Amino acid sequence: MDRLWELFLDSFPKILLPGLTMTIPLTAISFSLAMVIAVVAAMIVYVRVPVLTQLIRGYVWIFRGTPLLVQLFVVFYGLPKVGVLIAPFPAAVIVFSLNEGAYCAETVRAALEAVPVGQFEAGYCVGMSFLQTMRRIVLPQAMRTAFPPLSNSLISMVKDTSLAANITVTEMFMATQRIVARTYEPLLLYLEVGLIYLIFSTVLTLIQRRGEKKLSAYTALAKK
Amino acid sequence: MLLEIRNLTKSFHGQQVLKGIDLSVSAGDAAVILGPSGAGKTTLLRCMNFLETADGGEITFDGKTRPIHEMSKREIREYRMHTAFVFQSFNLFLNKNALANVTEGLTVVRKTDAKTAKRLGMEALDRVGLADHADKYPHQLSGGQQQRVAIARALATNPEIIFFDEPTSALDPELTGEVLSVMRSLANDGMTMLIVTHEIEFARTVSNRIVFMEDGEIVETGETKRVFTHPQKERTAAFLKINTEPKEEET
Ligand SMILES: Nc1ncnc2c1ncn2[C@@H]1O[C@H](COP(=O)(O)OP(=O)(O)O)[C@@H](O)[C@H]1O
Ligand SMILES: [Mg+2]
Repeated sequence: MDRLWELFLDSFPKILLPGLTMTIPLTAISFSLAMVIAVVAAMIVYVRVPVLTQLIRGYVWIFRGTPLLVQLFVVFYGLPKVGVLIAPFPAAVIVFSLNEGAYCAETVRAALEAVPVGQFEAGYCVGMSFLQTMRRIVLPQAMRTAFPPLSNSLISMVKDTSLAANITVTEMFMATQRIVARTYEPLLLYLEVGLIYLIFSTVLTLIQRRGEKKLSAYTALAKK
Repeated sequence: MLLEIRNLTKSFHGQQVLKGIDLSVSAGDAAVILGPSGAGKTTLLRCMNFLETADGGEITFDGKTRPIHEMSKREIREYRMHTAFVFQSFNLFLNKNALANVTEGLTVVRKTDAKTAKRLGMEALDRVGLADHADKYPHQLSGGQQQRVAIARALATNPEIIFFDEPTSALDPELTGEVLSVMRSLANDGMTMLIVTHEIEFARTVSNRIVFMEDGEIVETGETKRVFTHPQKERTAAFLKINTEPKEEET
């Protein structure tokens, strides 16, 4: 028992460290890029820009319809076949942001559709352009609506980054696997890494709650 | 003549909703458009502010006459800098408080500096009696207050004409009075207004001109007193008669 406790204490920082230096940056960078992709894609589909809308529909279709793990393998192990070599971390960033971007694009698009058309008309009538109204009036309201589902996506993503271990990114899960190989204590160590993921998700959930409270300044809005 | 439209036409799905409307508004007019539901009143106002694209017709504003469907986006935006619109459903910016609703058109479009915009915004809110509510978001205001903020928003940019599309129709009866009295004071101040409303008494006492519409056409137009006392068309007379009689179904 003592030995296990010692192993736990000893391994905790060794798992947490790659969590802080890999899992979190991987999530933060990928999710930020995913947001940019999602907002741009959602706006293009929302205004039905010809050709681009079809391209985005195709992109969303493919990335939502295939497993994340397969996408990681295609990019990291597959693309070198055609001469495209990408290092593990950037490869993971590319796949995670494209994958998450596809899901979030749908979320943001639905939220945009939910903003009453009268908001646009009011913007036009005070002299604003489409883009001004979009940026200052419609998008902020849509992002308010989209905030809870987007937060959920973010929390899922933290956990999904463990898949990056499969393409040799030394994030938390990979670090844990290595310690298991050395110590042969899979139960303890996998529970331990699970606990750390749980801590990360919990912190994010708390932040989400506070964010929702803050944003609720103008809630009750979707009704009108 | 401040604003004139000629032969304005508009169809939805092959059904003609506006059948060649001629209408002119002079500076200082408080003109009321009356007419049964479905007459095309809303569509007319929306076409006049380019929220709908008319099929044909001409618009004269600031002395310039242009075919209405040839107006470029830039020309439309330029035109809208001189007009304002008050909607039946208020359409306040839901993510902005009352003051920000009012100043948005100043800071974003006219590049007014923040301090001046705030002063003008507070003046406009004060004019509708809501200076105390500047920090409130739309959902914290009653319908009547929201509509008054919408009027303040319209006033803030100092427009040459304000279009009103049934500004009190979405309100509980006890809240219409506060909105109508704000509009009355604007009329007294000489604000040019083109108003669609079913408030006959308001039309009779506040407007200087009545436009009666039915079926996509202007049936009759004239000075308010004359239209109310001597309507020239039977349809106008019938409409006024029905709408000025005490409503029996409400007992
Ligand atoms: N966006 C639209 N699409 C199709 N038909 C419309 C649209 N807007 C108005 N109409 C039709 O045009 C006619 C006039 O409507 P409207 O201008 O709203 O009349 P009013 O405001 O006088 O009640 C009605 O028959 C209405 O159904
Ligand atoms: Mg109407």
